[in-house]
Parts: sequence; structure tokens; C-alpha cells
Amino acid sequence: MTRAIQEGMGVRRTARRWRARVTKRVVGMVVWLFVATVGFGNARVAAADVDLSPVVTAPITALALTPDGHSLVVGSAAGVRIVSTVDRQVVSSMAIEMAKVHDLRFSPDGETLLVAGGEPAEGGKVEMWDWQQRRRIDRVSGHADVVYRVVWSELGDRFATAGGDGICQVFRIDDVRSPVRYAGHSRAVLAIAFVDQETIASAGVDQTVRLWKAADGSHLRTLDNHVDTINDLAIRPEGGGRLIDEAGESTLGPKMLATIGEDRTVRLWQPSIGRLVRFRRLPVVPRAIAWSVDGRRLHVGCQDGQIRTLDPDDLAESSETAGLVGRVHELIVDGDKGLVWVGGENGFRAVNQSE
Amino acid sequence: MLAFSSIRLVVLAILSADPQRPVHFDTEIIPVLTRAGCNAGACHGAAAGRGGFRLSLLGADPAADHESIVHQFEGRRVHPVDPELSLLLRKPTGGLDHGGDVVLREDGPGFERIMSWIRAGSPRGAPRTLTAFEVMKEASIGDELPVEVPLRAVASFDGGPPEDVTRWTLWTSTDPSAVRVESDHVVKLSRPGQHVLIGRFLDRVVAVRFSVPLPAEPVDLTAEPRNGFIDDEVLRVLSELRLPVSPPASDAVWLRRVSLDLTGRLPAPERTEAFLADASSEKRGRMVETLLQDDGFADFWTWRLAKLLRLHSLPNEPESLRAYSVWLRGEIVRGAGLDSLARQLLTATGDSHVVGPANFGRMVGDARGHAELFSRFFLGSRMGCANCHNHPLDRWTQDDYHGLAAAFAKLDRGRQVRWLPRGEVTNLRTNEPAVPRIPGVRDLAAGDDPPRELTSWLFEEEPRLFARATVNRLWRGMFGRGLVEPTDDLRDTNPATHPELLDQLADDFIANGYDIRQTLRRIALSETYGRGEAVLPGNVADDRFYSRAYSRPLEPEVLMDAIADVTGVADSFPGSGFGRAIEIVDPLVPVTALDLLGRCPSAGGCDEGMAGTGGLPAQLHLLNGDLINRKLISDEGRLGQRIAEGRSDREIVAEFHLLGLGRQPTDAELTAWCERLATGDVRQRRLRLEDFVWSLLNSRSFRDNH
Repeated sequence: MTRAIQEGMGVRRTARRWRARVTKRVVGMVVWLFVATVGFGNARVAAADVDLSPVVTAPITALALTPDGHSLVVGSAAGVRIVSTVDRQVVSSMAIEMAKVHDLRFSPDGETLLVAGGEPAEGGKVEMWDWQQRRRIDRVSGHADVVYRVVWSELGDRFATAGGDGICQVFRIDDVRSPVRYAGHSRAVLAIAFVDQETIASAGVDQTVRLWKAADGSHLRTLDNHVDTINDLAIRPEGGGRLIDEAGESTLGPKMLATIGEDRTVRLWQPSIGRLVRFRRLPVVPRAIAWSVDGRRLHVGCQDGQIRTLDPDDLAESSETAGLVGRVHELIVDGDKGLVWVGGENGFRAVNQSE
Repeated sequence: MLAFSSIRLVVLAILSADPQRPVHFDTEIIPVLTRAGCNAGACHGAAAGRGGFRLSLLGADPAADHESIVHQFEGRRVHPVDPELSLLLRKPTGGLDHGGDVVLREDGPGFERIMSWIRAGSPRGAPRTLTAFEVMKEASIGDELPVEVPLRAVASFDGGPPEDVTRWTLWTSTDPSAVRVESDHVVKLSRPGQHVLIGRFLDRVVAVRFSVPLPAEPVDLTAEPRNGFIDDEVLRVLSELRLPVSPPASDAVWLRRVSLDLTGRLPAPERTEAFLADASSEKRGRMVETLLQDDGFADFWTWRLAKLLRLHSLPNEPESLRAYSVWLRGEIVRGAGLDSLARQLLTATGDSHVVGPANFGRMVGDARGHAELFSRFFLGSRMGCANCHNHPLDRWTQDDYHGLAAAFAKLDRGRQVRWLPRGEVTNLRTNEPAVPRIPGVRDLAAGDDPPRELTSWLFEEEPRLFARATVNRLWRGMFGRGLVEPTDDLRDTNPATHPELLDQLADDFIANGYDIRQTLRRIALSETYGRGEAVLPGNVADDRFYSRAYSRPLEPEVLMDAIADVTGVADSFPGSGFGRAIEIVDPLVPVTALDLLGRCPSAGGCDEGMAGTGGLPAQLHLLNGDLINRKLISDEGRLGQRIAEGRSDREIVAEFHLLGLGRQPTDAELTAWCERLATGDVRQRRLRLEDFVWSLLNSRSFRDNH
């Protein structure tokens, strides 16, 4: 028996003695303190399992895995910090200039990190950082409210933003001063993704998914089956929808778009034809969504802190994993390690989701 | 002993003091938002919110509000690291553009409280329940106006010591020209009369009543005649307000008034003459008994109840309405207590073409309509608001509304009315099936029988609810206005002019077996009812305390029948069997004249208290339409017959006065009319007499009950 475990047992014995002595009033205070600290969320994850101070002084609203996979970039109202994935210690922080951080995205080549956010009701911005140099290389704005999401194109030559002002913009890396604007949404846009190099899907408070051209912002199609705010969307990775033809050959299936909303549904769409393929109602509001690297699983982070993994073929729930205490805001997949990183109201955490 | 007392005082003081604990969202932040108007219906409390930010109306749903403020859109509205940057503070203080202007001062206590709460991590906090809320007036009101009155509101949570919440109470004056909220804790009264101030804290709403006497000398009403508790209570309030009472109405005025109020008919000339000639002191009592047993009473009160119950014909099913109205009239004729009638309405099933009361639930389209009809008729309450949000001025929550609807969800509203094994409504708050519920009281268990439970609640647990709603309507039927007005909007924040009287009437109604005749008899024989409408210098402003009688227009059906009675030309109505307009209980029977006169045209009924005078169309129709003119020129009519019989002008003028106004003309009136009618030309005489009757029927004296 190691010393640490012995010490731990000693602590527990002491705690038992104290529990026997405390009055009902003190128990009530402890309960109150717990609830005040972690809210009324599902308590299936103990608070000790979640990374809190010094990394977390505010709800985690953005996560990004560094290109080398050794660190995690963590964004919140407290700023942006870089945390070791091994010991969860803060390695460094980044001097960003925005009140709220809502998204962090590395370029496909891993050289540029986008930090998206801004000042609510004042302006949204995206800071572009040279990751190797840890140096801000540019900053783009043009939003009248915060930027909730930023996403890179597959080739990394452009990135698109989704703003709380209802505007989406596409910036070319070689000319960030002349963005393409899309103003088709009537209210805040909360999620955005490149369907392919030329097509963008965006969604938000107006309950619609809108497909539009990245090149000129022209509207293509509206998907409008959600009956409340759409919280997130994600495009299925290539290969996840493989079909076997009559000759037994494997071919790529159609692109698949997953959306989640305040109406507690997960919906799968075929964006090329605008068809709702299937949907499932969840017991709680889903907040963040991410496909597995092979596109054969759909991870959904929920209001209750749980991560529900669904089979896209029938949207049946294959597993439910304890994620966090409280709401999930962000979900990213580390395919190399079979982990899902989940960030939210009370910190962040890695969950093993071996595929 | 002294030391012990001192220690106890210190302990109490410490307990009463604001405890050093984190700010509690539900009970401390919500009141700040309510006080600032953030969650009002015109702002973020609107059903769709405002500017993308939605709060529950007046903080009715703290959990949803906490979610919106703290968590929505990744917590955009609070900044946990730098609270000053929080949108929740910057917007209302004017730091950022805000459609609602500046509603929070940076140096004010609300700002500080929100700031402390954000600093503490914006917690929801442990459950803390408001157990009591009370508003106290801290000064008596003297004669001098304007006067400032300090207020104090205290609240208790979880049964704990009272806390001063005056600053966090939302004060709303129902008449800002008389009562103005000067500051957090002071109101300014600037006009005599009875005024109401509404104090809201969390979900509690309290009405504070101010009675400000007239600046005149006190009036001594101790010698005024009185006949029972009605007069006692009315005179007590009049004394408080220093309002003198007008002299009693003449026998003729009283008889016309009571005939119209009890039977919806003008008194027949023979009855008027006999009554006026009777010198007995009991003649009013005997007349009331006669009227209460009259067929006209049954017809009139069937019609009145039918309006409340929203009787109307169903497509292709005339049998349903017939069975329903015949049953209703039969209950009134036999003098059944209204509790018996009400029980049948709630529980009757079977063939609705045969079982009249089984049609109660068929008069509405669905369970929600059933719940609203139930609340209007049985509780005198408008519960419809609670469909979408908790009632802002009443105690009804969305759970109450949808729970009551769920109690009726299993009713099959087909011809065969029956209770089905399944049926549900969705609670729009939870988007889940609503749990059947007795509103404001308790959820029903799975095995409970909803109609039986509701009946038991109405007549055994809370009998005053139905009784108050009913006697208030009876009062309105006799005075033209309810003690609470409108009569289908009884709630704490719409207090009665005479709350004690309303309770006494309700108790009396219950004690007398819910007998409407008994209550109507009591009212009709009161001195208050018998008061004249003469206006005294001291009571000219009185429109609700019964220092005098108030004229009110005849209801459309009553007016139409009265015109027919005076002219002697009956109306013809579509359908069979309708001799008088008052017999038409179905608003869908097409009668253009009634619609023009202001009949409620909707099968779904109209809000009570809406004037049924028809406005300008009614006036034009009476002046120029054929409702009167066609009857005047008819040779079959009374005027044509009297001319043919060779009656003199004097006789004709006297007869029509007696018919229409319930009294003989005065000598001056008779002389004046005879002078105007005198002519040797037969045709001209006919025209002049038509003009006389036209003038009579268009006079306020005829068209009003006074």
C-alpha cells in the first residue's frame, strides 16, 4: 500500500469522524456551498474529476488540441491558456484582446490559431496567431456582436465566422480585409461549417440551417425542421458514410450534416438535396456536437454534462458517458488517443471514447 | 431576567439583519430585474423576449431566467472574471445601447446587488421559498391633500424572520392621477376616493387600498333607514368617504327598476297602477315575491345564465341547445340551488340531445376552452393569460391552467358525452403532458376523478370562490355594476369596492342553499337598491359607492322587447318559438337589430363588463332605423289602434308614459305634449303622435334603467 493511499485513507477516516459530529445545519451549508459552486447540473461526475483552478476561473467556452497533441488551448472569459494534456498544468497564456472567447481553431497545417470572440453587443473579432511564434499576426472584425464560431476550409485558404449579429463572413487568408458577407440569418448565428470547399452551412437562433456559397455569399438552401434555436452543427468526415455498391466496392456516401437544438433533437441532413434524413429526441438539451474521426459515431455534449454517443445509421444511443458537472459548451475529438475533450460550465476533461 | 431579554433582543436583531451570505438569484436578483422593468411584458418579459433576450414574465420562472442570464450563448450576459463588463449591467445602466433606456443606476443598490452576485459566480443558490409577503401602510390618511404615505413591504423566506423588501417591491398605481409612486417607499395621494396600489414581490401580488375622504364635513348616516347587512355595509363605507345619500326613489321608479332587473320587462300598466295605489308598507316585498315567481323571471335569468355559460347552437344539432336551455330554465323555475346546477354541469354525461347539462363541455372546442369556461363561470376569473405565462396579476400559473385543462382532457365532446380512459393536453411550459390539477391547490392523483374532485373543491373546500363570483354577478344584475368589476375578473389585485359586503353576500348565498332568488330578494329590498338617482352636491363624483342610483342602458334584448311592448308590435325572429328577444339564448340566431344594438355576437362569449349599448350604430338604428319607425306606422300597433278607437291626445300621452316610463306624466308634461299634438288635420295628428312616441322611445328615460 503506497503512502499516498495510506494518507488518503487517513483523510477519509478523519472525514468520517467529522461527518459524525457535524450538525444538520452544517450539512445544509455544505450542500448549499456545493450547489452554489456547481449549480444544479447532473452530479454524476464528482467535482474533483474536473479540472478547475488555476486553469478555470470561468466556464470553458472553447477548446483546441495543439497540432502536436501534447497541449490543449483553453478559452474562456478569463482569456486563453495553454495546458498540458499530460499533467493539466498551465504551460502559458496568450495575451488576447477580447472580453469573451467563444472558439479556437487551428488551421489544417497547424501553423495558425484563430481565436474568436469579442465584446457582447459591441463587436466581434478573430485574432490570428502564429502558433510557432506565439505571436498575433492579424486581427479581423466586421461583426457588430461576438463571433461564436470560426471554421477553416478544408484547404486552409479561408476561414468563416458566425456572429451574434446574425452575419457570417468568409475571409481569405491572403486578403482578410475583403470578406464575403452572408446576411441570410435573421438572428444570431451560433454554428458554422464548411460542407465542402465551396459550400458553407450555418445555423443559429432563427432555427434554420442555411447553405450558401463561400465564394460570394449567395444563398443556396434553407433547412428548417428545427423548432427552436440550433446550438451546433457538424459535417460528417469523409469516409464515415461509405456505401457498398452491387459489385462490392466501397464508395463514399453523400455528405451528412448533424445539427442539435434547444428543441432537444439531433437531426441528420443530406445537405446536397436539403433532406432531413433522420432525427432523435434527447432527454436533455444538447449543447455541442462532434463526429468521431472515422465518421461512424456522433458525440453529443449535453446540458446535464453527459456525452451521448449515437450511431448515425439509426441515431440509437450507443453509450452515455459522464462528461462534466454542468453544461457542456465544447467538444473536440482527439482521434489519435481515442479521447473526447469536453469543456463547459465547470472546467474541462478528457473522456475515453476508444473507437 | 433583564439580561436574558437583552440577549434575546440581540439575537433577534442578528437574525433579522441581512445575513452575510451570497446573493440568492431567485429571491434577490429577480426582484431587482422586476423592479427595473426588465422582465415586464413590454420588455424582455414578452413572449418572444426582446433583442434576443427573453425572461419569464415578471420572473415567474427563475430557473429559465437563470439559464438565460448565466448560461445562454455560452454565458454572454455575465462576465465572471470582470463583472463590470457584464452585459447584464452595461445595458441597463446605459453603458451600451439599450432599447429600454437606463433602468439601473450605477450607484444604486440594484447594481450593487447584481455585481455582488456575479462576483460570487452567479449562482442560483439553494432553494429559498417566499413564505409570506405583507405590505403595511405606515401612516393614516388625514384630510389634507396631497399627502405622502410611506409604505413598507416585508417578506419571510422559509418561515424565517421578516426582511424589509420595500425597495425591491414593484409598486403600481391603478390610477396614477390619484396615487403616484414617488419613490421606493412613498406614494402620494392627490384625490379623494378609494384607490388601489398594487405591490408585487416575486410571485406575490398585494393590493393596498386607500380610502381618502372628501374634504367636506363628516356626514352622519346613523339615522338613515337600513334593511339588513347590505345597507349597514354600504352606509359604513359612505360614512368613511363622507358621501351623503340621495333620497329614496319614488315607488314608480322603484317598480320600473325592479321589474327590469328581475324580469327584463317593463311593468304592465295595470301592475303599475295597482302598485302605486297600494298604501301598504309591505307592497315592495310583495312585488318582489310576485316578480321572482313570474315566468318573466325564469326567462330573463335563463337568458342571463345562458350568456355566462356561453350557450350556442352546434352545427346540425339543434337538439343540444334545446335540451340545454330547457334544462336550464327548468332548474330556475323549480328554484334549484346554483350548487346543484353547477354540480350537474361538471359531472353530467350521456346523450347531449337529452341530457341538458352534458352540453356544458360541448360549448367549447377543447379542454383548454373548457378550463377557461370553468374559471370564468365558477371562479369569475380570467385564466386565459396563464396559457402562455403565469398570470401577471393573479395567482394562476401555467401549471394551474394546463392542469385544469388536463382535468377535462378525457372528456369526449361528441353527442354522447363521456369520459374516456385517455386524453391529455400539453403543458406549454414544460412541453410535457400536463398533470390534472385543481388550480392553485394541488395536482390530482392518477386514480382521482377530476369532475368529482373539482366539485368537492368548489362546494366543500372553497365554497366562497363560486359564491363570490355568483353574488357579484347578481349584484351587477341589480345595480349595473359589480362590487368587483369586471365580474369575470375577480382577483386580489382587483379588489371589491365593498370587500366585506361581498363576503357577507357570499356567505349568505351559501347559507341559503345557493338560492339566487334569496340573494336577489335581499338586494331588491335593501334601502341601497331603493335609492333615488338625484345627484347631491356631495355625491356628484360617486359612481361606485351607491350613495345614489346609477342609470344604466337597457341591454339590447331588453330594449328590443321594451320597444315591442310599448308599441304593441311584436318582433319576428328566425326559427320557431321565439316570442321575445330575451328568449333567444343562442347568439348565432341572426337578428340584425340585436347585433346593431350591441348583442355579443360570438358563440365564444364576450368579456363581462363590456358595454352592450352598441355605440353609434345602435344610436343611429334607434333614431333612423326601422326598429322603432316600422312599429310606429303600423296600423296594428298600439298607437294605430288608439287613434282608431278615437282616444284623445291626453289619453294616448298618459298611456304611453305609463307603459314606457312606468309612471303617469306630470301635469306640465301632459300640457306641453297636448299643446304640441293639437291639430285639426287627421293625417297631421297621426304624424305628430308618431313623433311623440318616437321621442319617448329615444329618450334616456326610456332607454335607461334608472
